Amino acid sequence: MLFAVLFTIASIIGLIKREQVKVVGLLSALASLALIVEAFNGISATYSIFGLEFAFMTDTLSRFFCILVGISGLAVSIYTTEYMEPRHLNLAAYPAFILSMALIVLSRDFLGFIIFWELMTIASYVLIVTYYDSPETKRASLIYLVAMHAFNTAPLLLAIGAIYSNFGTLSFSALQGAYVPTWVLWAFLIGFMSKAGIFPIHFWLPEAHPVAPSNVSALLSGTMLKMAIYGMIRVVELFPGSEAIARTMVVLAILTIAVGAILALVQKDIKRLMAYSSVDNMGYLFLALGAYIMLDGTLKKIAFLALLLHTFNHLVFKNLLFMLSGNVLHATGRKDLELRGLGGKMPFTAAMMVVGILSVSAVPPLNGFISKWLIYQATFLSKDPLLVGGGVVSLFASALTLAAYIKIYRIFRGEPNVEAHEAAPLMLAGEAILAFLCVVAGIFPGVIAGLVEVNVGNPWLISLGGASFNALLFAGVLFSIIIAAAIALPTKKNMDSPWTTGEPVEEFEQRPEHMFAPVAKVGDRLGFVGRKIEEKLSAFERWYSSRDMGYLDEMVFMPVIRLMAGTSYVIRELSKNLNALLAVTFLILFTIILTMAVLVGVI
Amino acid sequence: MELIGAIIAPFLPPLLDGIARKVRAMIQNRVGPSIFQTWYDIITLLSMESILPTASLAFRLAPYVALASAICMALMLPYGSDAIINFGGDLIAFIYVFTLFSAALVFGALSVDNSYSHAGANRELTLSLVFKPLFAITIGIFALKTGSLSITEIARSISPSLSIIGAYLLLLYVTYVESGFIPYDIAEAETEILEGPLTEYSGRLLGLFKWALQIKRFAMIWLFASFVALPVAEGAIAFVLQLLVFLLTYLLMVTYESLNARYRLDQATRQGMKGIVIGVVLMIIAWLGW
Repeated sequence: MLFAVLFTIASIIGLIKREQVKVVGLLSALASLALIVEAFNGISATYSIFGLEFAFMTDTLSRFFCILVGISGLAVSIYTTEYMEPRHLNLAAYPAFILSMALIVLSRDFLGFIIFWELMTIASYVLIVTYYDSPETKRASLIYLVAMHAFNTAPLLLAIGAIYSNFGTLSFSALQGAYVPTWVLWAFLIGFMSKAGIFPIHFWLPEAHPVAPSNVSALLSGTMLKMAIYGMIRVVELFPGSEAIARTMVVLAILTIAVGAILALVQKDIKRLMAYSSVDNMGYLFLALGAYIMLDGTLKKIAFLALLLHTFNHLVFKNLLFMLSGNVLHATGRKDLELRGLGGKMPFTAAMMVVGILSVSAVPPLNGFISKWLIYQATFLSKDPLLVGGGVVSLFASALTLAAYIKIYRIFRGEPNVEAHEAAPLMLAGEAILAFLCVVAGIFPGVIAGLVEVNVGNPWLISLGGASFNALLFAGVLFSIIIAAAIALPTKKNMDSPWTTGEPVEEFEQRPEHMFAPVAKVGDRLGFVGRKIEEKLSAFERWYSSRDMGYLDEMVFMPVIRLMAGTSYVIRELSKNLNALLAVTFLILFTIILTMAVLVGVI
Repeated sequence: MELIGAIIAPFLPPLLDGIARKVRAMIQNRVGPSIFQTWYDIITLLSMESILPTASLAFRLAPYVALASAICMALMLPYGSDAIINFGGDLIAFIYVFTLFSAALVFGALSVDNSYSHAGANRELTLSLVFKPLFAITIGIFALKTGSLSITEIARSISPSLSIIGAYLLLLYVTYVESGFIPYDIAEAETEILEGPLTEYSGRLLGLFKWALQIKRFAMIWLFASFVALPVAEGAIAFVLQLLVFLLTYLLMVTYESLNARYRLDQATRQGMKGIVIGVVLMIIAWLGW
């Protein structure tokens, strides 16, 4: 557990020496590296603190997720050394955040799980409020904190409390195969789906993720959401009877995919677009998980592999994309889609962005393709109309993803309209690791499958049951044709300017919000429905000052949040300055620890 | 047969376009150019230097990627009973290699600061947003009825029913649209937005793109021909049948094309939406067991 020591040291340094970004970043990178190595070798340790027993051990599942946390921790921490701005407690929270995620997956009982889960929520909250002086951040972080505790922590505590009262133990090994009441599974489902940003509790995600600094957004979207997947898999593996929640899970996942993809298409802000695309991808993961529960035999295996491979792939490319958006934000101070001409000054950012875009759009031979392809295998071949429908919606969403992300490519082309400079070398180095993984994991998917001990034949292909795809052969043929054509028919650099029949380009530019009009209209219509619902709701809520919100999600679920916010007027008044926000945070943490104590001690 | 396939897949398509031009000329009471005209055009273009309107590498690379992905699409399909190179893969992989082709076209078009090519890229993607799902639904119906995603497997276990017949018609429609025939050639509208994504391409790079577009069209129609031919025959006979169905479909499509005018983008998407609704209904019918 050397990594835990290193993370703790980094956290303490961040707490006392608040300017030492480089030290904290490099220590975190080192600790992440240690985490990967230790996870490979297997971890087994038990500690006793104040009479509480913490047992940490790796099995196949937690080893896989540990390596994931390690990879993203490594890449993002290298990036962080040059990117992060030291503000209040964020340097202390950053290592604690990664550490908490590693300890969640290593915990062998629900007690450690929930304690580190809460640490993760709090640490991420501190990181989200980094730019606390902007009203947008304040609002988003409040939504995040309230939504997480109401929809995530509360149901999880209820479920875990019920388990303890029924079985008198929280240890995974003792609970294996235990029959829990169905409502406990529902509580787990609600808790983990809220954390993952599954419809209808996804509204907090596109608020909270974009306001954080980009390195934190990367960890939030790429890595923290995966903890919900880990938790859900753990619950499904532990307790029988999860078939009862599978269909609901699939239906919600399909809705999430559709809503996430359509709303990503109409965004005007790069990071918001990426956040909605995370919502969409979490839908894919829950669809695969639902298919895993519902199916049998080979298809079950395919669904499981699809789930874990997509977890890995989404982590890699979403970390990459958010960090690249950080490059743009760092260089220009903007993150809207009206930017133009950055490619000249930021060639490496542009090149890696193309890799990221192709990867998230599941274009072969990059990594996003393999896992989505496996999801299609599991859904289309199931002969279950619900799952086949899910597959069709996924394919639709996949086309939408390319359309949405192509708008980001446009900021690199055209006449420059803003001063820019290429990102610092260490920032690019962190991103290069992930861009490299995007390509390698696409061509050698078998290596990743090997990490979860699913035998797919060879490192360079996937062959499970009837489904087989030789990724290396495909990439080889594709690149051979490209190279052969480029050698046989090379092009020289004869430069000239574009010809637009004499019209000035700027005036006739295809503006981002006008792209894909016939389809984007559907997204607007969704917003229209949302506004209608809001009108009806606001009749009940005149007393509360209404804000300008255009999305269905916010319309339907903001009232709940408003109610929460409304009942906590005291806290809202306090929230005007950061110290108070932190005070609230610790107050909540204290309450939760108290609840925990009651849970463990009294029941 | 795979060998013959490997020869015809890249080299036959421009010749077919020559035949299409001849048919169009006959319908319009003209003599028309020689059937080798499209080949002559491509060869001329390939021998000419390109002028680059931008320093972007993506712009230069896009035609090569498009050509490679179009050839890969053709390689994945069965000729007789086997694919030329067996990547494994299946119809879903086929759709995604197609996506690579579209991505190359769009990345190339958006790399240059020209409103016509941007409009073309926008149209290409908008069409794909409607017709990729329709393609997926069609495949979904086949998968629901046969439990497979590969053409040869589907052919082995297919049996005629109401939903399967509907799926065939939808597949024919998707094939027609994705082949980029009028009225669905909205992205590359020559007379309207100066060939859209291709407008800034010239010489060798344009030649590569034109060739790739022809191969993509071949692959799409060959896919439909395989769906028709493989369930009824095997081996060499299947190959001959594929070829016959392919030629017949191609000629029919060309004839239909020359009798039509281009849709606007919103009209085309509305047609696609209708297709999706029909597809969903068919899927429900398939689920009910017909």
